Amino acid sequence: MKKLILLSLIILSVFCSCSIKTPEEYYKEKEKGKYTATISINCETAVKYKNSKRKKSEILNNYKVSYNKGDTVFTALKNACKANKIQFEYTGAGDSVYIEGIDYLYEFDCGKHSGWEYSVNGVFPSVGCNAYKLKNGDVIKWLYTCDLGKDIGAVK
Amino acid sequence: MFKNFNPIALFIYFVYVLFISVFSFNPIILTAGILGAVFYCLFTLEKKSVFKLFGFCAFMFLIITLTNPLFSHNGRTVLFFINDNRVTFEALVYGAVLGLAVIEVLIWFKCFSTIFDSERIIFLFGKISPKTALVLSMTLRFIPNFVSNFKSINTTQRLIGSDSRIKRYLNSFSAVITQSLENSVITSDSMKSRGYGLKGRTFYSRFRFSTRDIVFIIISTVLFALSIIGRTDFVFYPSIDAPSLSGFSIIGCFSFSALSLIPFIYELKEGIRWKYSISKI
Amino acid sequence: MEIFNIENLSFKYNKAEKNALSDINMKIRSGEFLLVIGQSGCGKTTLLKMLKNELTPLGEKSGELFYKGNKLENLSQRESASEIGFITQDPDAQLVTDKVYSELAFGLENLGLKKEIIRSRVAEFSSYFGLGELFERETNTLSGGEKQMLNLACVMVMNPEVILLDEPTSMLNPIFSAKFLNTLKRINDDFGTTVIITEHHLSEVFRLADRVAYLEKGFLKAYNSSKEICRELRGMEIEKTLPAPARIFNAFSIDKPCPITIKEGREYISKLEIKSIYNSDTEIKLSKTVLKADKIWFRYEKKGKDILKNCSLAVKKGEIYALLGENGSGKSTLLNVINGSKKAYRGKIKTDSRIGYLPQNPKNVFVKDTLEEDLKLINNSYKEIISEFSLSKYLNTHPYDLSGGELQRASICKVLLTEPDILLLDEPTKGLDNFAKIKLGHFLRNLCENGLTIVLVSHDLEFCAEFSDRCGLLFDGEITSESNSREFFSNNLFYTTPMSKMCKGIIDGAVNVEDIIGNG
Repeated sequence: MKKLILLSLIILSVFCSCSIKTPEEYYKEKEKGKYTATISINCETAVKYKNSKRKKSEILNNYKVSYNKGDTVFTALKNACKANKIQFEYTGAGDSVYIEGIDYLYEFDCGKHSGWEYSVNGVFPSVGCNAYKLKNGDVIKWLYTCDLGKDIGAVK
Repeated sequence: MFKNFNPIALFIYFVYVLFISVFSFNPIILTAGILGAVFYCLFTLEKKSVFKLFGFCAFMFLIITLTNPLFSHNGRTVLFFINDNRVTFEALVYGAVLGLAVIEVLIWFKCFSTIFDSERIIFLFGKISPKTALVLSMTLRFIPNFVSNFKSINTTQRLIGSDSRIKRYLNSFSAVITQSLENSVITSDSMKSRGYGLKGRTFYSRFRFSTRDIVFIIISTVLFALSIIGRTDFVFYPSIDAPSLSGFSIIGCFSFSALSLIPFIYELKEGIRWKYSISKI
Repeated sequence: MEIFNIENLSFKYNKAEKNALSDINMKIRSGEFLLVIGQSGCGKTTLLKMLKNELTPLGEKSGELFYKGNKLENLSQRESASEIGFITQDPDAQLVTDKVYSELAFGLENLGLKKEIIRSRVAEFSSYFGLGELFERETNTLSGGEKQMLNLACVMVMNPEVILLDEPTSMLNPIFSAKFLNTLKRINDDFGTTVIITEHHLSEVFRLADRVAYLEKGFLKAYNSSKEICRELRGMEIEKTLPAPARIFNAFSIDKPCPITIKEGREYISKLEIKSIYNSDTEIKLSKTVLKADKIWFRYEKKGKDILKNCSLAVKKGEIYALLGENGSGKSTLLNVINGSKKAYRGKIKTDSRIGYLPQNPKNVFVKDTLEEDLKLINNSYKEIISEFSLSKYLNTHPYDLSGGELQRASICKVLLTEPDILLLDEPTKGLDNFAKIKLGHFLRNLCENGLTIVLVSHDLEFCAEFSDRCGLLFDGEITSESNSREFFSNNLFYTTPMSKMCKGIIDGAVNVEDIIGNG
């Protein structure tokens, strides 16, 4: 009995520390920031992939996203997705945040070498997206690859 | 009774059922499998253990169903957001199906373990190698003997009361090993004097392989093959997409339902036959 | 026709100084029930083991052994396995597999018989031995008597010509051992299977034997029919172990045929003109009560049945109190409640004394590699007590290598080091031969004279009659009758010593053989 009470207390406290919002509330919120960056999300490779059901390669095109000082590529993606009601999913926390899927397109959906990568100003950084600090006016591109980045020019 | 089929036939049957249960992610198939196993359990197990099993299964089902949406954020129908992560209806359904899969395997394993007692398991091994079967049988005798000897030595030592607890355990353990070694000399003499080591040792079991076992295997195999051919998977992400009902998929679901209901139907048939023969008397 | 022909057989174990067997000549007839007797260490077991190739120990052997006219050593392994069966005294360690039916099939599997033949053979013999109800049981769950019966069935299922048995009943209680021996006799009668058996306790087995061989220090001293041999053994030390009628016979006249059974004994004894007996009633000691069990109730499981029901017991200082009763009457349970390892759910144990406890298996008392190390575990003042027990020479021996009687004494010694006032013994005579038993009895008496109080549980009525002060019969969870030993055994009709049964109504109050023939 004691254990049961303890367990329910733990669950309750975890529950309370979470913020729960309805979709309407969530998408109504506007993220404001001093700086802006340009973000595009593209999955052209997935459209070309054999037997693909995806028709549209453009998910987001040159969207101006605002952010605050110290924010990262990950924050920019989150803000952009929120503003445009785009689904995305990530795992991990801190520097090791990893983007699993955007707009229902997940890693491994197009073969075992597929997944999301990003470039900033045409360069593919070798750090995680939440470890890359933005500078004003950066151009971010999220690109889907079917071949470990070779098909999007990340690897030569 | 169903468990009186030849263990090999039973084993094949369980492999079929568990194979499909593990590799198909189809709520219809899973539900059919669960129903088959549940009916059989209700027929053969004691009420108390059935309640226990079902209680545990319900708990597992709830846990899996509720946790999946917390870890998977895929799906178009958003119910609400927790800390910027969407909790979706699709993930909830996916969790429920995953829960079904888990409890199906659980209940079938329960059926497996009630049917396959040590005798049946030894029989299966005996078919592969009589020596392994003997070793298994000797082990099954040795372990409880060892444990009870250890307990009685330890009790005696506790009553004499000369050592700390840990030391006593260690001493008792070494004593029980020495005693076991001593006994093993007598055992090996007994084995030798009864001709162990002669060439051409055979394996005796009380199970026979009869025509009804062959019929059982054939029926199961046919149903298994049909279920494989008619296999259809559901798609859950980003939105739930049930496959259209084609002829194949109907046959698949039907075959698997039939396959998983075999134990129950067999018990039912035997039960009715028994009642009928009693009323004749 | 002879099944075994032993010619000038001598045998010496490696590293031994003396011969274990010296110049043995025996012709053992086919279909005979042969009993081999002798003190521990006389070579009985060695002789039995020589008769089966697989069990022949290492050592120097001379002389010849013939089996059915051919040299035994030329007998093939296959024939040896099926024709010569062997059973030892340990009922448990002889078993190999986990289930009763697989144990029955074990030998036949080794012979490579077909499944169908094994099936019918196993069925035949399990019904002959009445093992039907045990058939699917696990061998671990059988009682000692059931295990030994199973061992016999396992040998018989191979359809042997001869069965060798090495003290098969020494670990069984009297009821099971009578059942076992009678089954053995029935096999002997029904199948003509030759039986060669060694035993210490002769009251049951002696009347079953056709012939008896007596070994002393490796020499065959006497070999004759069971009636004749009693006369030949007259005056020898082994005489004390003979059945009560034969001992009376030897003490008085030996011109008639020797009585072996109680029935023959009564007939013989009624013709003797003895009215008085030597030993007068033992005095009841009027010392104070040191241990009191007050209305004890006990059961093992919450919803199980009560093992002890309102059981009360009072033990006086310096006495030997024997608790008797059939299997499962709760004797050992009562000891466990007294020693505190089990708790009564109602009732109390009242005592100010320290209690020492010895379990049924004295091996469980020892956990180290030598006796000395083991005694050191208790305290360092063991030197004195060990020489009192005349065990000093075994200090460097592994406890398990001691003989039954020595092991029992050593275990008592270890428990006494904890300085108890009351000693609880669970079947102390189990597995001991008569000489060791008598020695143990005197030893216990001695301890009591020095102030120790002993409560023992036993099936051995003759031992209790001779050495205990008071006896209590435990039945249905309580002590139903209790009195001093002589009164107890002379009042009981069935639950009493063979001597008492034999003298009932003829010589009143005679319980032990010594009551009539004196201690001389």
